[in-house]
Amino acid sequence: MSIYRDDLIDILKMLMNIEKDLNLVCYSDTQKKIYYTIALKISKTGSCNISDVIQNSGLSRSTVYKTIKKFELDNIVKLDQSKSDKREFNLSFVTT
Amino acid sequence: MKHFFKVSITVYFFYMFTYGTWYFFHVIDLVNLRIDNGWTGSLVFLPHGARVLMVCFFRYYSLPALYLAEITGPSLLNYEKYNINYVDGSNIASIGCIIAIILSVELIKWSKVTEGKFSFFKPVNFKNYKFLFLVIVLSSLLSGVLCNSILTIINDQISIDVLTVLRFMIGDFLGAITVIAIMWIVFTTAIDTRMIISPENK
Repeated sequence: MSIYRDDLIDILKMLMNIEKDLNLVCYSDTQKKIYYTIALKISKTGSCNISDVIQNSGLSRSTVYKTIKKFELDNIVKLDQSKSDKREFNLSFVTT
Repeated sequence: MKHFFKVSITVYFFYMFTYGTWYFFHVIDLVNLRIDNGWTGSLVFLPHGARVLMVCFFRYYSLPALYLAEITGPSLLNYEKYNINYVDGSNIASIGCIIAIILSVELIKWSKVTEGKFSFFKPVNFKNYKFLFLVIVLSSLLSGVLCNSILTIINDQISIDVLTVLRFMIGDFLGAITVIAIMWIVFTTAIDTRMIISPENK
């Protein structure tokens, strides 16, 4: 890798270290990816369920379930049982 | 040599971008629609952020382009007002601002932040933003004193009071912090929305 690219990456790392140290964002990159997958799906189709997230994010079922559970505990995402398929859960964002 | 050219182009354009942005807000007071409300603009001198970032991350390769941007920036944006004879000694005073950053970086090195023996060529790990913050604080203080001292020595027509030096110091400090804060918001948002790849995933 060129020195120039290394220097640019160092700038990015410095900026990310500010975020980490200030502890402004408590979610990992994977968790953020799942959040944006849900947001994107809802904005495109108006609804999103867990299978959609697994399919679109390319992450494992257990990772997606764990993350959605965390979002639910943090009161970010709400889970509602699907009316058409009782095994499926629809996701929506909590708005206060 | 290729690295030097890449760095020089980046430094020149980044400095001109911050200078242009600052100049826009400094000349046009958008809130009160007053033109030429100059002195309040220099309370947040954004180009100091560009100076610090470029010297810290691209080291001494950045100096020629930085100086070129310092002396050509004002003339390129408003030649009639800021032509080369706008203030006698302003070009040499710019050297003072750059020297202030070099001195700050070397002071950080000398304070044994880096491992091993002191060397002018040894880079500091500025991934730790606290070192960068120290450079901003030190360089703002030194830049205010050096730049104004050079201007006063060279130019007999100008007499600079203590408040002007203080304004330079505060302006450089707030400007640098503002640039880094804006970059932080822009780049972390770009990483979060997958517009650029996180350096941690590389």
